[in-house]
Amino acid sequence: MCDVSSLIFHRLRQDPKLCVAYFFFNHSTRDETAETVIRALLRQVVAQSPKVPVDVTTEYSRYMNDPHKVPTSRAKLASLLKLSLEQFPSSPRFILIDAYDEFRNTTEQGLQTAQLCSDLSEICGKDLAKILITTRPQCRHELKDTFSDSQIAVVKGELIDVEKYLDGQIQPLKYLHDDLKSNIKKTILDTNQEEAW
Amino acid sequence: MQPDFDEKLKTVDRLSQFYGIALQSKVIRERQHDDILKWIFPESNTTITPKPFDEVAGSHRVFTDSEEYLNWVGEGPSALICSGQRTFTLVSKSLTFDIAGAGKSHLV
Repeated sequence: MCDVSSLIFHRLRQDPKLCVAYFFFNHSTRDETAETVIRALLRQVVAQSPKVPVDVTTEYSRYMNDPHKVPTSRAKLASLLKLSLEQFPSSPRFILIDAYDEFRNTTEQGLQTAQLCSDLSEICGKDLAKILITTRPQCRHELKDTFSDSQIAVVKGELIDVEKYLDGQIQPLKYLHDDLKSNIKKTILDTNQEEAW
Repeated sequence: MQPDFDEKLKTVDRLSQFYGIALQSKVIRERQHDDILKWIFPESNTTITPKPFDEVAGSHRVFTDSEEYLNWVGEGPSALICSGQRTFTLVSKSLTFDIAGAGKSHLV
């Protein structure tokens, strides 16, 4: 399997000075929240920062010393994420969101989606990070409306990638004869070629 | 000679104390750093991480060479929305199905 977000992640991480945070939605998670996404992004930004931003340490101390352990709100976490991005020494910073259309929340889908979009569009609007979102086509116009300064790219599979994937899957199968392996591979590649990638 | 030696011994003693405290502070800072990270977002085995470099290296050249991608990495728009729907055809054209996540993360 080839994975666009993973590929972009590795390309960006080649420059160790860059801040790169990601969130890959999991299609088997049915109760994802905007807060989880923000927390995951904040953790990565803080981990890559030369030192923990003061506001993050302050909120951490507040929580640790609070006898009632009132959790930090999503809004506060989003604000800490923006601050941490702002204070990151190098620019631009990058956020990768993979499989946005797999963002599922069985009880409050609309609210969670709206909250995440609002937080991300604010980050984008303030130029705190460049955001790449991969999604199925049905969500792309909704996202285009959310991010005023955005562009849509249609990504097509490439035959060479199909071949690489097939090699990775078929070659390790010890119980298949080599001729059969070649035949299976050729048939799939020919069919994909006919489908005009 | 003796006073000079004593003075040097005191200096060594002071420095070793200083390094000891510095090392202790560093350990505390690092431990607190880890605690803060865990507090923000505890590590979980349901979190998906990027695929290893070897598995994706060299793929999607058309996309990574595209104007849209290069603009996004450079001075272009802040947000890039990537989509692509893929129906993976297996052997018979009549037998088609969508791979979970097709056209987004897994384009093949």
